[in-house]
Amino acid sequence: MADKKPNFLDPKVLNKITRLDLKARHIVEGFVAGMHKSPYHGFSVEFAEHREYTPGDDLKHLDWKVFGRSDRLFIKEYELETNLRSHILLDCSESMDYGSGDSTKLELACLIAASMAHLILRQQDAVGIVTFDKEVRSFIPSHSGKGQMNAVLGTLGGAKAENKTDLSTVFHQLAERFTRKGLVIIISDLFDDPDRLLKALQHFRHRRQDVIVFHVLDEYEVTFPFQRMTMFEGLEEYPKLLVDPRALRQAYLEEVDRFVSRIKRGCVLNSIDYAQITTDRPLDIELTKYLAGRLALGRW
Amino acid sequence: MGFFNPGLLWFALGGAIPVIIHLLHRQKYRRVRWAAMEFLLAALKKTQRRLRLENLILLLLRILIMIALAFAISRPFLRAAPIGLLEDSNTHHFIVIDNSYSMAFKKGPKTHLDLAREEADKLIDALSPRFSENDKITVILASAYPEVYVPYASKLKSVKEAVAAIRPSHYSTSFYATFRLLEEQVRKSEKASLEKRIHIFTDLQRCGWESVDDIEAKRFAELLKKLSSTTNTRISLYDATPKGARDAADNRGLVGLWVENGIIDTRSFTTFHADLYNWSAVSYPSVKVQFLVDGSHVGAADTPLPSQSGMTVTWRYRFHEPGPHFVEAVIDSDNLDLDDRRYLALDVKSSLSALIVDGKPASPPEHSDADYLRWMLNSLDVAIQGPVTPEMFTADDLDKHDVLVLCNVQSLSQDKAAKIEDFVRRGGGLFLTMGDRVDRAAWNELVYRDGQGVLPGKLVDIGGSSPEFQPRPAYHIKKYSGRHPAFRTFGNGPSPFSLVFYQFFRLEKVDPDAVLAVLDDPANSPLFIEKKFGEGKVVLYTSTINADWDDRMAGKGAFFTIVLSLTPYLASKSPGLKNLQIADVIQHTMPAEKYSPSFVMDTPTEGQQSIDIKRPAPDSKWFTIFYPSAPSKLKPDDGRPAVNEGLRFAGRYALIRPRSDATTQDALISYFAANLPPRSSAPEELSRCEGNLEKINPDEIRRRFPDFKFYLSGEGEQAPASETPGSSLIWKYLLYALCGFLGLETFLAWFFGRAKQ
Repeated sequence: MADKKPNFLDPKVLNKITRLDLKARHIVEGFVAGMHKSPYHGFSVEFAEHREYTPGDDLKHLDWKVFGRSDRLFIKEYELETNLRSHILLDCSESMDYGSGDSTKLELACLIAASMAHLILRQQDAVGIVTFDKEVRSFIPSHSGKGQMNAVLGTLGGAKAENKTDLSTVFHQLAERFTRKGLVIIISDLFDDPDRLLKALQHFRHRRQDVIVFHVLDEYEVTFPFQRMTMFEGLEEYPKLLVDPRALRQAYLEEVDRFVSRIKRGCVLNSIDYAQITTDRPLDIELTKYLAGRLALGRW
Repeated sequence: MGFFNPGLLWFALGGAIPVIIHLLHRQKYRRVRWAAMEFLLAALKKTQRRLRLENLILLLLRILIMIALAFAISRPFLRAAPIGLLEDSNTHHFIVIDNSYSMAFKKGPKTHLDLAREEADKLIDALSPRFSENDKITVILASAYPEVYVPYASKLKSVKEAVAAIRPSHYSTSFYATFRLLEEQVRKSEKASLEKRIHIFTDLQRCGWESVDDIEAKRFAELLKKLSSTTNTRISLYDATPKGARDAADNRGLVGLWVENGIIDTRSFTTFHADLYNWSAVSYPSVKVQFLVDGSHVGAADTPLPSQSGMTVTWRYRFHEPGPHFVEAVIDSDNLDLDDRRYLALDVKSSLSALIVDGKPASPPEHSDADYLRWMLNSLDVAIQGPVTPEMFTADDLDKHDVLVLCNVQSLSQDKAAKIEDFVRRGGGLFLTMGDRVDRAAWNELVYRDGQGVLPGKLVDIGGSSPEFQPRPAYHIKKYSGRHPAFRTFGNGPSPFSLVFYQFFRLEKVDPDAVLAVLDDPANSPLFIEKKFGEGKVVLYTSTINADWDDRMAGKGAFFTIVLSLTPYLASKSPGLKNLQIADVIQHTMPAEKYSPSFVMDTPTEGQQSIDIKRPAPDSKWFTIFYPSAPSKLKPDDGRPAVNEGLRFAGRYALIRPRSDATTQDALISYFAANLPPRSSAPEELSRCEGNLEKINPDEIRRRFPDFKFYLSGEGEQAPASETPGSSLIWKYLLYALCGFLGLETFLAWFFGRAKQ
C-alpha cells in the first residue's frame, strides 16, 4: 500500500482545476485578493463609489457632505474583499477503506481533499482539514498561511480507515465549532442514517456554512457486478453474508439509488452542493465538471 | 405399480444431484470485503423470501426431473392392486410355441421348431437371473387346437425340459384359436396384479393369421385388441425361421387320395387318384408318386408339377382279397415330410350282394318285375338272393347284402319295416318299385311314416291310364338329374327320353331336390326319387319294370343303364366314415353279437390303445365304438378355445378285436385313415392349407390388426410402429412429464433469472 500511495498533487488534476476560476457561491467574510465578492457591501472600510439615492436605501449611508455641497442625495458604497474560511471534512471510517480497483474510497477522498485545499490556498483563502470517523480524529484549523498546505497534506497522509462511522454526531459537533461563516467541504461515502445525516447537514447550514458534499462511492458499490456466489465480509462490524449476488443485484441497486436520491434531495432542499464521485471515473473530469457547473449557476 | 426394469429405479437417487449441486455451489464462493452492507442487508431482507421460494421451486423441479427420468427408464406400469414399489416383479410368462406341422419344415440341420425351441430356451436362460418364486411360466402350444402344455410352472428347469420335448403336431396353424386360449389363460392368471409377458415363437406362416370369414376376422381383431390392452401385458413375437429365409418356402404335398368306384371289389380294378399341389415358386419336371397297399409297394406313377399348381395322378389296382385294406400314396420327400403322404382306408368286397323280394310272382316267372331285375343284375356280377316272396322275406339277414330290392310288394309288417329302416340307416341300399299290388295306405303308414320312414314320398294314387283305355296316353321322362350317378352315363348312351310309361304312382310331399327324374304328364309326376336315410340310400321307382304298367322296361337299354348305375350307387357306402381328418372321431357301429368288452386301436404314433366298451342293452342290436372318445355333446362355444376331442395324428388306425383265448388270433375289424388338411382340393382350401408356407410380414400384421401391439424379436425394446400406450406404457407419460418439467424449469429459471440480468 505504501508504494501505491497516491500523488495528491497530481499535476494533471491540478492543471485542469486551475484553468477554472473557482468562485465561491457565497461571499463570506474575510478578504483575499481574489474574486470572491463580499456580501457585506457598505460595511467594509474600503470606499468603492457613490450612487444616487433611491427610495428604500438605508439613510444611514447617505453622504451628508456631498448633500451639503451639491444639494443632491448620494449613497456611499464600500467594497470589501473577504478571506474565505473553509474546512474540509474527510471521512476516515472503515467503510472508506473499500476499493474494488487500484484505490480505495479513502485514497480518492484524500485526493479530492488535497486538490480542493490546493485550489483554495492558491486563491489566498483559508483552509482547514478535519478527519473523523465516529469522532473527530484530527482538526487542522482554517488558515491561509504558506505552511498550511503541508499541514493539510500531513493530516491526509496520516489518515487511516479504522473505526465505525457516526457522521451525524460528528457533524453536529463540528457545526457547533464553526462560529464564523465559511465553507464546509464534506468528503465521505455518507454511509449513515439519511435522516440523521441530513439533519446534521442542516445544522451546518443553520450555522451559516456553505456546504459542498463530495459523495465518494466505489464503482462496485453503484454497479454491483458480482456474478458468482460471494461471501460479503462487512466492514464496520457488519456480519458476513453469503449470497448469490445476481439474485440480489436489482434490489441492492434500488436500495443504493433510493439512498442517493434521498441524500440528493435533502441537499437540494438545504441549498447544499452535492457531487457524486466514483472510483471508476477520472477525478479531474469529475471535479472540473462539478466546478464548472457551480460557476455556471452564476449566482455570485 | 410395477416396473419392467426395476433395477434402473436406482437412478431415482439422481434426484439428490440438484441438492448436492446446490450445496457444492454454496461451498464454492469468493470472499469480498464490503462496505455497503447496509444496502445489501436491506436488499436481502426485501428479496429473501421470494428468492427462497424461487430456489425451492427450481430445486424441486430439478429433483422431479431426475426422478421422472429414472421412473421413465424403469418402464413403470399399473397393477390392478397396489403393491410395494420395489417388490419383486411377479411376472407371469406365457411362452407360446407354434408346433403346427409346418414347423417341421427343415432346410438345413434344424427344423423351424428346433429354432423356436432354441429361442425359447435362450429366453428362459435370460429370465433365470431374475426369476423368483413369485414368477410363473405357462407354455402353450399354438395350432388350430392349441393346448396348455406346461401350466403355471415355477421351476425353470422343468420348463426347459418340457420345451425341449416339444414335437411338431399334425395340426394346422390358427392364431385365432391360439389367442382365444391365450386370452383365457391370461384372464385366469392367478394374480390379476401380475405382469404378463407373452412370448410367441412362430414361423409367421400367413395362413395362421387368416380367418375363415369376415365374422371370424372381426372377432380375431377384437380378440387381439383386447389382449393388447390387457393391463400389464406385453407381447413379443419371435420369428423362428432362419435368418434370410425366403418369404415363401418351397413345399409340395399330397392334398387328396380318392377312388372313383362306388363299390370296390375283388372282381374289378379300382381307380385311385392322388392329388398333388405345389405351393412353391419352383416347378418340378417329375414327381414320383408311390402307392402302397397294406404297407406293400404296389405301383408308382410320375407327373410334372408346375409352380403354384396342382396335378392328379391316376393308378389302377385290383384287390385280391376282400376285407379292410389300407392304401397309401407317397411322393418324393421335400423339406416338409408330413404332407408328402396321404392315406385311404377301404372295405373291399368279393362282389355285390342283392336280395330281391317279389311282391307279385308271375307265371311264367320271367314276366315278373323281380325276374327282369334279376336278369339285369346278373350281368353286373351281382350275387343275387331271391327273388323271395314277401312271406319268405324275414329281414333278419339283411347285413349280408348290400342292396335290398322290393318289387311291387303289397305291404310290410311293422317288424320288417323297422328292420329295413335299420338296414338302410347303417348304410344299406334300398330299391323300391311300384305296381298294382302296392297297398298305398299300408306303405304310407309303415314305410312313409309322415316322412320319418324310408319312403321318399307319400303314395297318393295310380296315375296314367290302364290298358282298357285306348288310345292309351304314353308318358316319357321329361327331365332327369344328369349329375346323379344313375343318370350320369347318358352322356355316352341311349337317351332315357325314349322310355315309355303308361301308369305310375302319384306322390305328394316329395322333396323337389330329391327327384331324379320326372315324367311329362301334366303334373310332371316324379319317376325316380331318392332319399338318403342314415348312412344308406333309398331310390323309389314309381312304375313297374314288366309290362303291367309300361312298355316292358327289361328290354330297354336306357332302363338297363339306369339299373346298372343305380345298384352300385345304392350299395356304396360313404368312405367318409373310415377316411377322416385330424380332429375327427372314429365311429364304428357293429352288431350286438360281435360285442367284446374291449377292442384295440392300433395308432400311427401312440401304439396300441385299448378301448373299453360298455355292454349294449339286451334289446339293442348294435353298439358303437368311438376313438379316442365319444364326441362331446356340448355345442361349440365361441367364447371357448377350440379343443380337439378327435384324432391327433395322421396315419393308419386299425380297429382290432383282441383274441379271446390263446388259440385264436386278433381279428382286424376295420382300417381308418386320418389325413392332414385340406379336406378337398378347392383352391381356397389349398391356399389356406398348412402346406402353403408363405410368410406374413409383421408389418402386415400390424396393418391388418392396428390395435394389436407387439414387439418383434430384434426390435429390442423399441416401441411398435403404431404404438399407443395402454396402461402398461406409463413411461411415455412420464417422458411427457419430464419434457414438461424441463420446459417449466427452463422457463422459470429464465423468468427468475431475468431479474438477475
